[in-house]
Amino acid sequence: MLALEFADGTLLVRNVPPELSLPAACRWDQRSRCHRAPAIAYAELVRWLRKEGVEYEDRARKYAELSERLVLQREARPFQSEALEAFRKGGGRGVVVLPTGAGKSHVAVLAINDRRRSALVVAPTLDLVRQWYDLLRTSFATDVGIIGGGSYDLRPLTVTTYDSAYLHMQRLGDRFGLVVFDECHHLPGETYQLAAELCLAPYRLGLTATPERTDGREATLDRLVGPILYRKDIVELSGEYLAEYETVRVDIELSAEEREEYAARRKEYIDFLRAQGIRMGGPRGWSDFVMRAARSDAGRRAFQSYLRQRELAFGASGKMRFVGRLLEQHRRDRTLIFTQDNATAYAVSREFLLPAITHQTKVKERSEILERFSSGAYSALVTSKVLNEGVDVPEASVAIVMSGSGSVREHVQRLGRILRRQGDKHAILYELVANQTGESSTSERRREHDAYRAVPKC
Amino acid sequence: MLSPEHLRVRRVSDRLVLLELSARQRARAVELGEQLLGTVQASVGQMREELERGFELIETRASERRLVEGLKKLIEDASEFDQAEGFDPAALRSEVFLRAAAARQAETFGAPNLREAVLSGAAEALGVEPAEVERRLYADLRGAHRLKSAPPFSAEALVAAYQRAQLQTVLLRATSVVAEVHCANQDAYRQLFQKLKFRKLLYKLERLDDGGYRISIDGPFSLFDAVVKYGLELALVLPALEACDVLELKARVLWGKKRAALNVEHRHVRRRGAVETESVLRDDVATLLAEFNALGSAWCAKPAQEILELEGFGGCVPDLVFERADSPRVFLELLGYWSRDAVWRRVELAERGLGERIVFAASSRLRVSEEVLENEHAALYVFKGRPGARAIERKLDALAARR
Repeated sequence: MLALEFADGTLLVRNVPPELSLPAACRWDQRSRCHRAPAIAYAELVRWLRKEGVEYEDRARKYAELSERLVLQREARPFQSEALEAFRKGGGRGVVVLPTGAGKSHVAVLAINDRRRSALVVAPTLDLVRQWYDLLRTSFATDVGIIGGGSYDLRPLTVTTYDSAYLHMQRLGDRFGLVVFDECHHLPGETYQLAAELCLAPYRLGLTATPERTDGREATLDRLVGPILYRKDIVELSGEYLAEYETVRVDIELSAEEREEYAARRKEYIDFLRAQGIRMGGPRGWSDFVMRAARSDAGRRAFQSYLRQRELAFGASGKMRFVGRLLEQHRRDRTLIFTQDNATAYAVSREFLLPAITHQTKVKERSEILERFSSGAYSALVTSKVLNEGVDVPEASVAIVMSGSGSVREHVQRLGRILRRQGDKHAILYELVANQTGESSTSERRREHDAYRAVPKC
Repeated sequence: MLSPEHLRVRRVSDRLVLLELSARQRARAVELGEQLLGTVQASVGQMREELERGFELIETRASERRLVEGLKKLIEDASEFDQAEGFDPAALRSEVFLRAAAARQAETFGAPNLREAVLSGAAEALGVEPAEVERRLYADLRGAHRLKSAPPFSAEALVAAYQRAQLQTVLLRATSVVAEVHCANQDAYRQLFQKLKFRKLLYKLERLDDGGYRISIDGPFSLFDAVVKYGLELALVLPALEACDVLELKARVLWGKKRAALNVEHRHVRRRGAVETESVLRDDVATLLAEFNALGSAWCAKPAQEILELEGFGGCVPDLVFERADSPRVFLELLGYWSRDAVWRRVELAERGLGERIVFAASSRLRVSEEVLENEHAALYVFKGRPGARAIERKLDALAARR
């Protein structure tokens, strides 16, 4: 009888009758002298075997029906029920797009309960792993496994990071019937996508607020997870399901000394670009600059100047003073301060004696800071890019973006941190931009989203 | 390991060429290595930031940047750093930030000298000076780590390590490797195949006319896509490949942000006088060998030296050979418990005829039955837990009786 086996992220198809022509996903593997298919083809292959009436022995699937039931019955919001219905109609494979704070994770909990299969949740950060662990444990009243951050505890409900999924999926890929990819815009990356390919789970749910990627690879999600099944944007949910909000752009002047140094450093960098004929706006602009900068002393100086002028714009003394004013004004509000680089985050932390979270912060301290921020023991914290995703504090109502990249997604995610609805909360995001510097155009680029409509300027 | 920005490579058409150091460049690299190692030795007890400032004082040309950064990376990886002694900076921050948060929410926030008041309060609570509190607030950050010890190697060894690390870094991006190897010593082959098995890499083996082997190495998923998933394993196999007398390696790598598919070639001839590869038995094989020879059996067991191959179908590397005066020798390969697939491959090889008598020992966890291989030259022994010497002796006797 034809047999399916899971082997290191692939399916071995043995004892194939000579007259049977297998689907295109299956190839003859001379190395193991049997047919082989990528694990992701499992559902398609099983459907085909059933349709063709081929008897087969399934030794591949190691996942089980989930015995745990949802014990914490939270009433689903109408759009969450609609998303679940769309997931069902899509055959249990696809992506749900909802803004941060709208309750995407509840849609996943409903989907796990609906499919009733061992489920793996893959999240981008350890903070999110911790939140999923708490959510699943409370929702299903059962022990939940964690893989990643030093833990390797495999259970019918398990949470892991994208990094660990990539590392371990070739061994774990037969253990889950449903995989939830949280913040699934990460998945189409060159390495992470293997986590989806090495896994045989027939049911797959992707969750994100912003599926679009700058490299355009979001189309890959269709193959790795499924098509977009349901979508709602911030503007559609603002007020009723998300907090009312406003965004304020603040133009900050550099000091005279900063302006002088900024101009000199920028000139040195721009002169080098012109002399080399490098167009930074072109597709190879940045890599050309880095490569040519490395080849000469003038290039190395230009590179240092590039870094310094950027540093001056990011950490302008005027920004520091303005942050001080905002902290005083919002001292009773829960405030998140975002920076583009660690150096500015630590400078803010030292100046205002605020806790900082960067990629260097150890897990224990990071958890303690987030718990205190949630409880109100800390009313403000500063972070570089690590909390763009992953902090779930409904009380947070003020965001101060001191510096950032030109990424629309990053900017929307930062706004999303303060949009979780609570009482009559009114959220406010301040974006501090060093006036007449390269940051002005960066700010224009990142605000190209409906969520940043009618931005008042100070 | 190094990063791509540390490598001296050049792209020529569809090839990625690792740039060899000329005699003059090598001498200069050693000179730079001496200066870098001198700096690190003189910086023991200093902070990492100070060590990095020391490195910056070494005069280098722009063309030497990759080499210098690579050497620095290897030196830093081999150095030992420690956090500043004294109280825990995380606990200090907790004390300071809680006080500051409380003050911020109090009506007095914004009052002059509030920052100083918070630092003084924390200093008093911890029994140190306020300036010390500020200084130690982030004493655990990477730049503040103290250098505890410098690496003991010479500048020549550092430069040699850089050259090997370059190739390993390239192999991290490899999707497949084809190695042509020649060894006078069978043990080198054996260790290489054992290493490939251990790394869960799949390979195709072909005998070359001149006695060597061509080994095509990749991973299970490579059949469907050129992935770098097995790059780390391929890089870690390099020392075993270089332990062969002559190695000619061709790798396919995905290079750069655009992941261009490029070819890399590398030839390595083992130096005369280099340490001979030692025959190292795996722990489970050594235990079995000792237990078997303690039985007092008519069979005498010893480590096997041969590779059994079947032209066009690959081969296997037995672990032990058993000899008895009145019987042809019998080999044993201990397959362990990690790959059911490997068992099927051995069964197929044995059925096609390996030319020698052999017993394959596999764990019952692989869910295979001994009945799948019972012919006059080969047998499968399925064990629970660990292989038993007496059970193997019975298998050997049964095979001998099939003459």
